[in-house]
Amino acid sequence: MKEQTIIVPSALFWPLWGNQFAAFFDDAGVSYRVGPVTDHSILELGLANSCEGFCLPLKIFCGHVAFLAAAPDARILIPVITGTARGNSFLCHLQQRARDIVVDLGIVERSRLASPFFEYGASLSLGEEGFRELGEMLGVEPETARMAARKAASLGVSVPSGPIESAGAKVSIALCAHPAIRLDPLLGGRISNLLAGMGAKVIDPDTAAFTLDGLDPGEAHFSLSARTASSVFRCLEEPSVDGVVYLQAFQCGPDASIARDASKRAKGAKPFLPLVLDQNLSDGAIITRLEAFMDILLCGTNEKNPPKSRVMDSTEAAQ
Amino acid sequence: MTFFTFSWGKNYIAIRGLLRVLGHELDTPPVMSDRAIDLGVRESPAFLCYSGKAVIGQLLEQLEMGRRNFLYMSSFGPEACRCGGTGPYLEELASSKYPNIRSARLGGNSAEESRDAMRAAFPGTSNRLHDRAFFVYFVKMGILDAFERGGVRARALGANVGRIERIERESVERLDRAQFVPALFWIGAVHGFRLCALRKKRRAPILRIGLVGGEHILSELDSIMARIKRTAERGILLDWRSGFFHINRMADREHPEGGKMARGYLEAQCEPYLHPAPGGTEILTCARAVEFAKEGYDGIMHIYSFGCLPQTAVIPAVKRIGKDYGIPILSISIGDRFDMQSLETRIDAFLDILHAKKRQEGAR
Repeated sequence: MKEQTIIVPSALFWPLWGNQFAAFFDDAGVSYRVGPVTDHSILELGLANSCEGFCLPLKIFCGHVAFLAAAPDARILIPVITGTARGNSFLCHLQQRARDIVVDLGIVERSRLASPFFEYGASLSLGEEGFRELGEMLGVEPETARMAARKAASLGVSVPSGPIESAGAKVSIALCAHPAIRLDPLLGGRISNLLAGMGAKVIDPDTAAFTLDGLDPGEAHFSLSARTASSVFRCLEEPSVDGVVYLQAFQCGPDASIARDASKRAKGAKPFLPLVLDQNLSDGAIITRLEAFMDILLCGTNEKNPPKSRVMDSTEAAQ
Repeated sequence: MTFFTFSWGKNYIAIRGLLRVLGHELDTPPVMSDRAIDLGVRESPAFLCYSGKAVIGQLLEQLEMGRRNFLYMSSFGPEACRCGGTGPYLEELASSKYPNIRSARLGGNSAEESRDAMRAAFPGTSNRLHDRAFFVYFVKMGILDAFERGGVRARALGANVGRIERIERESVERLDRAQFVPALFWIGAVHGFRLCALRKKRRAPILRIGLVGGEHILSELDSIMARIKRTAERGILLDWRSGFFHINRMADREHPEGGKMARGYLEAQCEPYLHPAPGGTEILTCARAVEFAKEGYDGIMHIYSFGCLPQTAVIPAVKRIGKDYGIPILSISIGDRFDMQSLETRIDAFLDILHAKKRQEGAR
């Protein structure tokens, strides 16, 4: 085991690529620690340290880095994930520049960071080269790093752990969002628990088979947005899903048109609720909307009331 | 065939030049009006950037005018952001109301990509014709850019504004009509001579401000930038080194070296602030801000659309450049609720700061 410990923020990159990084660290013998999950104190730290125009996941990420930067010694992993090797699909500019943003804002010194460059394939799985660079940064023996990198690169991206089910659930709701939202306990996790508490079975869309291959170049431009859109559209067609809740971060440009496109498709298909999440995470407003959505779904499952499609539009949802 | 496109500033003249080489024509886009912007804001998703909304509005306005053949220039690289998908997006948005919309995309990050795109839009186009069309396009873009910069410089030196406007109008009309490349250069040179010959009130500007930001906003001349550039009439030189001409050059992956517009040079300027991975206009903004700071400009204005991803990503870098070089920065975000009065107030306050700073430095 190497002496050097690396700490990884549990937000933004970790939710989707955590299993690849974890596999690499384990195989390369690198001691690593994942930072705490998001809570309100980290959110507050993020709001204090970021810019107004950032999306919520990036603000939260700034909070995580600020929190971890206070810990002495350990280096912090902030990968620079550039896009596909073919250069035709990318993360959004903000996610791609996350390293620069936290350094330029003075949240952390650049010397504290380990920031290897990664490209990904059509399935969004990170490539081997970046893991080799990470190994070099951390002083891992080249051969060990090569083997560990090959294994990590062969893994797919992280997939959600499975449905959350409450006893006697009458409806199945798919919860779709950018992975940094869906897999964040304060964002997607909270909505998931609220829905389960209202008697729903909460399903994560099956994204394991997602690939950028075959998408129109304009559609594939922002990789994660394409992935989210694909999961929303598939859930709208999935017979075992009664309704779809789509979570969108306030000010997320790449995901801007998903809610509108999905609303069009959902008409006549199944209830669809787009929910915009911002830093004012008031439970009351969210619960009211979720309860209304549940009422629509439960009404649809009652034989006396035939199922009806209902799309809450984004302005209604944003109120 | 006659096409229509969106315009920011006079870039449509260069696109028209390109189309004329291919034997086609381009309708003149309407001025970017408040109505077009309102239309775009209404019809676009809430979190689309303000520039994107304005573009959508202007395109919808042209569809109302009966235009149907849409042509636009875009690569699929990171610098293009959402622009690469404008054609399919417009078709999906408006085809139910305006049937028979057709879209064609031109451009790319390499000659091969660009030729492929042109052949998809205009089957059978030879490499030679493609190259000639783009040569005319780039020459016209470069000259239009020089016209704008020259006009602002002449204003800052106190030349008669009415005369400058007349020279600009005449030169742009000539440039639009001409297609023969030596004639284009001649028009550019004559324009420069005419501006130089104007009587000036001062030899040097009172203040020098560097403009950086989103290429759409910097190239837009009809409303917001028109107001910002009027600041030049108060003896203030506004210099910008971005816009569509520069972004076209930056997007060229085949020639990363060579001159101050090439990607390699821009990345070297950005080195302390941004990593060199493929990126969008944030690289241009950061590099130019560093240049202005190094050249001792009095201040920098960072102007961008609310919701613009690359420009939002570069905000921390611009702030840090301001701190590192001790240069005042004014960050202006243009969004749905933008109003001209607040812009004017902010510009006036910024100018007051710059004047005060200059006086203090002079007193030392």
